[in-house]
Amino acid sequence: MAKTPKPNKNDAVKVSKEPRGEGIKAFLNSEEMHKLSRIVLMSRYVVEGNLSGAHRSPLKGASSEFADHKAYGVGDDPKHIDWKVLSRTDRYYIKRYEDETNLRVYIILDRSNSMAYGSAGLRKYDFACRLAAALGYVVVKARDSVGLFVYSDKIDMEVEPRNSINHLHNMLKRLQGIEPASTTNTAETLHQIAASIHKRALVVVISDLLDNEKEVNLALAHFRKRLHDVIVFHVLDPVEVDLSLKQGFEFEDLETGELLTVDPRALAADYQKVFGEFLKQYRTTCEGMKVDYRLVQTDQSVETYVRAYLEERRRQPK
Amino acid sequence: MISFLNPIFLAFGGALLIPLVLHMIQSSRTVRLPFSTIRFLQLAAKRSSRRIKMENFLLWLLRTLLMALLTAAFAMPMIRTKDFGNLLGRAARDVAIVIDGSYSMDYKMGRQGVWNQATDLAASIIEGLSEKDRFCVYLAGDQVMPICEQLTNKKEETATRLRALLLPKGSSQLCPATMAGLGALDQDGSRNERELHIISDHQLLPWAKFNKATAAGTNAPASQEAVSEGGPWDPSKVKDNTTCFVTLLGAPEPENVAPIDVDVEPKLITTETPCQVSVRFLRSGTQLETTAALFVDDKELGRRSVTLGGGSANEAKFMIPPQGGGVHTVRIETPDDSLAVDNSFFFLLRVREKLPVLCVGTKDSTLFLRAALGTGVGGVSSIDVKSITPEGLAGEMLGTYSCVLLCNVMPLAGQEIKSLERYVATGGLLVVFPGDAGGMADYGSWASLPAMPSEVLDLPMAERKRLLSWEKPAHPIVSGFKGAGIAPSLVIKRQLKCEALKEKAETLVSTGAGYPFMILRPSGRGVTLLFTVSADRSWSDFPLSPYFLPMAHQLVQYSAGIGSGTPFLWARDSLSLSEFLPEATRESVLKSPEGKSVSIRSAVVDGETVSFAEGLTAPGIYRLNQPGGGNDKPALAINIPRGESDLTPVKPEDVPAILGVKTIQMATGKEELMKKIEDFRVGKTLGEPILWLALLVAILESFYSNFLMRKGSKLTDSLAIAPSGKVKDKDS
Repeated sequence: MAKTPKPNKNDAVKVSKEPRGEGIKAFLNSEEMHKLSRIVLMSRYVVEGNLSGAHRSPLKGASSEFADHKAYGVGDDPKHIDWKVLSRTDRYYIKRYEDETNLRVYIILDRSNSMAYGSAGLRKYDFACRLAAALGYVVVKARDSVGLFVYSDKIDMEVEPRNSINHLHNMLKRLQGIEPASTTNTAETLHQIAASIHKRALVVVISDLLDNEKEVNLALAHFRKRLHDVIVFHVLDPVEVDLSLKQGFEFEDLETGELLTVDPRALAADYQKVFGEFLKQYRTTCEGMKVDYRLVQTDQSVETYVRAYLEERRRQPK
Repeated sequence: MISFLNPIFLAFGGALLIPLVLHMIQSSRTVRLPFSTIRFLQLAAKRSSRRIKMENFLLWLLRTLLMALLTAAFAMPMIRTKDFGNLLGRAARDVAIVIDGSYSMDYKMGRQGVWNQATDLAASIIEGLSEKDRFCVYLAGDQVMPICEQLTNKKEETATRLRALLLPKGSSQLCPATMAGLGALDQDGSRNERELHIISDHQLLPWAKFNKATAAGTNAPASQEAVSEGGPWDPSKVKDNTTCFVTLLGAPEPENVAPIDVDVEPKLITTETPCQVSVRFLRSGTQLETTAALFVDDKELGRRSVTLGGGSANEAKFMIPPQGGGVHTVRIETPDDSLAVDNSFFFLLRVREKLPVLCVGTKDSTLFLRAALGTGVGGVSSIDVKSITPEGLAGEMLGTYSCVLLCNVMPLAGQEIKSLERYVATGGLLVVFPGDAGGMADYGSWASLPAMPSEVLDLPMAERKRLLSWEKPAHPIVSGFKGAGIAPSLVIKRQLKCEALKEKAETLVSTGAGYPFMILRPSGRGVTLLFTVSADRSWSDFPLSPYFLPMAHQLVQYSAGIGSGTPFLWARDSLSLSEFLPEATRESVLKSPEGKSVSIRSAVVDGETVSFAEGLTAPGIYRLNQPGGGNDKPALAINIPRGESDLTPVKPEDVPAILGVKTIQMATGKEELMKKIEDFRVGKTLGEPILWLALLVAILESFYSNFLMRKGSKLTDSLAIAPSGKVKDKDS
């Protein structure tokens, strides 16, 4: 006989954290912001920005980074003529340099009901919001632009990318008012978002990806087809990964309301196997598509995680 | 064979349901938990449902097994089959052996008697014990006789002692001896294995006391007979870990003939009177025609054919012709049978030449009595009258007289009164005639008197003629006078007034309502008779009346009857010679039938020195040798109590019900018992091994359940997630 749920500090509960302030301050404190201000989110691929910046552009520009030689033609600036090549070959070539532009980052945040799960007092959604805020802050501090999509079974909120701190502040302020709700339709929504982003950008998906993995992978492929640099933050609660519950429960699905009575202790091994296969499918597919797939568990510090991630990303060869 | 030493714990078998009940309770108390990955749970449940069922079944099996083992361990099962028992070895045990020591155990079957079989069996039981075993041995004779009172392991010494043990030839106190054996087992309760061996014959008698106590129920107060040295039989004293072995040796349907009692008529036998001896026999077994012989002074005087058993009278009568004066030894003998010890019955025949009578009083006072007692047929009287004055009473051996007549002897000294009372207590007849000497207070210190006279009545002339009334016409003293045609009237001038009679006193003759004439009171083995008139003419014309003389003769004859003593006594450890053999003195020597001297000791009882003879247990004639008295004279005829002669058999199948004990093993011979013992002693209590096994299962259950809870590494660990979130799958 099922009973009404009892709050248990060790088990999963829905917890909404009291906002510490508005906008960015609701998600990051000053110390975290200070630490995050020194690092940069770099795109691994060329991006198309509207401002000159630190990121490689598909266009050849005036950066100090040598790209290739091109036969001199009418209209070319003579100052780019490579005189050393002329002396060796008696032919006029001009040196072309990589163009550098600013980065446009789209954060796509899942707010479906499954994101409302959280053990140890922190929901996945809360964690995802803080992660989005941290990334947004890093992006804006590097004078890059950050935009936001919040979705469930559809796009619930869309914010165009801007590079001002005020923009970030307003964006997060709007995010503050959104709570997890509804079922998920990640694949379809990602397709819509992919279709709406025309210029090559850095797309950051923050979700638990609890949807049909094949379809979600197709959606991610859509992004890649449009030459976006894609980062997937697969946000999961540790209990979801290990099923480390210590007693039998009548489990109620957060999105469908379906009930299932099992003893998780007896089921843990098989659950981990099934869930491991689920994770592996995302991981291998993302690897194949060169999507940067990251598994994020909610029991870690957002700021530490973001710094560790960006540090690693900075060291990766482009 | 499996038995349980603490079967009460089997009632806790319901504990087997505890794991199932706990599982059901746990299943019904689930808490609802909102969760995000239900579909993976469903997939996992589908994959592992069979495995989980199997794991749950195994867990349930382990836990139920644990409960079953704990229940079984506390119930302490005992495997007693050879196949398993030899593997398990033997547990150390305490053994109590109780041997029936009654003379019925002397029953002979071929060469060996039942007693020898019993002692040999007891010795064999002891020899079959291991070094760690302990035992105690009790013999159930007239009393409980411990052979080994405390638990010991001195096997060789005790076995040798048992084989040399002689049968006490008494009755059997089997019930108290068994209780004593159980008590010895309880003294050290450290051993779980206990055996109680009762070795007896097929006689029903020793089981009667068990039966009474068992029938009365353990909570009921024990019957007086059952209370003895070892206490009443209480089946609850036989604990669950005690197994009773009852061995009934000898013939299952024993046969026996024994003379058990004699009656000699008349009581007073003189040299001129023949007598008749009626002998009662006891027959165990089917009807039998046998012979019984009577020997007087070891000469066969008669032989009778008697039919015994099957509803016959079981009695034979012998006539003994007049014998010479003195004490003659008489023996009744039946032909040899399997139980020889009770074939002879001894008694003494006291033939009187003359009846010694002591008349105490002045010449005038005793004149009429002496004249009456001295009158006999043809001028020769069979009564030997000795007359003395009251002053000479102190020097007389009163025990040698069958009757003492006191005529106007008051007052008497305290020592003389005591001596007279002792004479009465040992079977004498004391006849008291009052007189003018002495006052009423002189009667006060005389305890054995039938009544305490209050005054002497001087009757007026008009009331002096009195008609005698026979109040107890059937009494031997007056039985001959009723209807004799003599007008029972007397002229009484003075008379003692006795208003209240003492306890047991009765008026034999009275002179009207409220005026007793002759009062009798038994005291000890003798009688005191009080006349309310004097023995001379000063108070009444009684001495001149026609019934004075016959009444005096009747008194003397009656005294001879009551004072002649019991013709035989039952064997006993201690006998008061002052009571039964007053002529014996400290210097006398009492010899047993085997010619051995019987020890005589003295003890002071109530300020008087009383002699006791000890160890009168052997049946036969005991002879007394007076110092300077020449030849030994027959003094006592001792017979063993005949209760044990009744060999009515007990059915072996009835013994468990009689004892009221569940765990009982019956045997009817040595071989059968030894085999049962061999089968029984293999194996030991499995309580401890099962407890260890339970502990093992508990550990196994603990490990298994922990294994189920913790089995497999965490997925997080196998994924090896870097701080940056990059997954390095260890498996891949």
